[in-house]
Amino acid sequence: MKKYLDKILEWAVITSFIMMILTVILQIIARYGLPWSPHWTEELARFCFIYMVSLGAGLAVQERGYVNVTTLINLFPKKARYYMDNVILYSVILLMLFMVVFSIPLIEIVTLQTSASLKLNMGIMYFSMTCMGLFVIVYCFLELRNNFKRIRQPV
Amino acid sequence: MTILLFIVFLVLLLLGFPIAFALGLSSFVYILFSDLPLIVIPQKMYAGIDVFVLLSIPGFILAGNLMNASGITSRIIRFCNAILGHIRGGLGLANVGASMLFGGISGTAIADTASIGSVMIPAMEKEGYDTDFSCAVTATSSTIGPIIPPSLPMIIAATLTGLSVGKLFMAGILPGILLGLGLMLVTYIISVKRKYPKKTRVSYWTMAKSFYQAFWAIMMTLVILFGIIGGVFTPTEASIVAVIYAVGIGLFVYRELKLKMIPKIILDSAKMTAALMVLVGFANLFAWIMIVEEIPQLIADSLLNLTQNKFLLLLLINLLLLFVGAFMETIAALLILFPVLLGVALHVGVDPIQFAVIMVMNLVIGLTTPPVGVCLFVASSIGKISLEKISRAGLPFLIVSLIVLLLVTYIPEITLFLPGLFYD
Repeated sequence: MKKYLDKILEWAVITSFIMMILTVILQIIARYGLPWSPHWTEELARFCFIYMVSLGAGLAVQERGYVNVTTLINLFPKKARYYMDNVILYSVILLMLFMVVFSIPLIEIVTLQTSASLKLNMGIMYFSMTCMGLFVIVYCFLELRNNFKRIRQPV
Repeated sequence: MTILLFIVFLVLLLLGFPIAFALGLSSFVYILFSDLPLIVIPQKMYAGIDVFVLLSIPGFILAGNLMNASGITSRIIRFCNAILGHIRGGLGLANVGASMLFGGISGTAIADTASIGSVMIPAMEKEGYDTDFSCAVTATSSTIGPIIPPSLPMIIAATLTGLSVGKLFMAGILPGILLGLGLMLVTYIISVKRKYPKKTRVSYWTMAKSFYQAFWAIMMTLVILFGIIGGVFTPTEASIVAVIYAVGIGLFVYRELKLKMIPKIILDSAKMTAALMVLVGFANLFAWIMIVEEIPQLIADSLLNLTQNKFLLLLLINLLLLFVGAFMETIAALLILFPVLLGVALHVGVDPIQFAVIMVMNLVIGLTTPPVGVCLFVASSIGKISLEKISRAGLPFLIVSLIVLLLVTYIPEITLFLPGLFYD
């Protein structure tokens, strides 16, 4: 199950990144080499970027990609660090839960607007925040499960 | 009430919470206790990320990672060795030189320490350099990277205040070179005193060959820089041009990059970007609350009440930033403090471009300030020595860094000369 989620997200992230690159390349080429230059490139690039970030945010939890200050925590005994890590993961879940819940009324508000050049429903853009929250929560739970497995193993 | 925001943030930070979530959670707690609506959490997160200039960050990260996978690190080091190796302490000098060239590629000090350190520290050890010295050179010289363009902190500073990325990039060049030369001088003096080895001079042919190899890396920086300055492309476009350039060099010139390696490199760069952008988003929320509570004004007023003297004020700000830089990740500190302190700097007549460079320099020098500087940790773990040892060995380097910082703080021409030359 987790393997599939990883794979799907990974490819979604890679695809958004490549689409962002291609869009910006089109923007450059169009300005210098084409008789017309599309006005929607900047918006599409931002769209790809925001989804790349939102879908990648969960994967970064798994990677422990978020920088933290370890000076004090390294002085703690191993057991305390383990509990602290769980507290951190639960707190992040709580924060992101609020982000997900409150992204819905936000989407309802902005759904009346369309983006300037692509005429996309702005709700689609803001939905990225719901995704970000959800995937960070999922990966925090997976990390909690990992922690639990690790502590039950005889050392 | 506002004090709650900071206390919660600091406590979470010290307990080892990732900085991004420490910012988010402290804002969240504050919102719960105030009459602000919770809907601002996703709203400010989105607003913080939805900025076109920020798209250059994944671009530069990806270009750097691609160049790394193409074996650029070893080529830059070989080139620096070829031109500096015959001087006493040559490997140490080459270490600093490599950081100066490599800075154009990686843009973060920690990545610099890790990638140059893993090659240079063992190599220096083998030639008879003391390990604490090798680690100290590696850690302190890696702070040059984020000052020499392209630099992620400079892009962030530009996004926050609407300054021109091109001007900021130009402004970083001379301070970066000055810092590099300063560190080389210390390396040389110590090497002479301790009689560290020197190599025989290599032939001009070898030198030319190694230059040709490193040339492509240097070219990347120049293409980015002059592309932006000449108005050929925007910073975001420049970062994507750098990606294409890096793929081309990796596949066809160095031939160490393989097509099947690319998806993994893209994915890693994307994850790094995602973590960074969550930080940017939550910092935006945190900064918004500060503005609502008029905290920047409060800080500015109390600083200005303390003294109106430009000289003293800049000194105070430097001390504050060095302290913060030692604890906090550069970009996080920049996000929170740059808009706040810029007002104070402007009030006493400091140019915003110069102030951005002063601020970035402070924060990266903080990375090598004992006992908490992250670069010291990275270097000491590569060299397997204690933090005390590397801190003591790093002291002369730190002093020189601080001297350069003071020069940059009090002589505006060092930062403003090049942007003035190309822009006005």
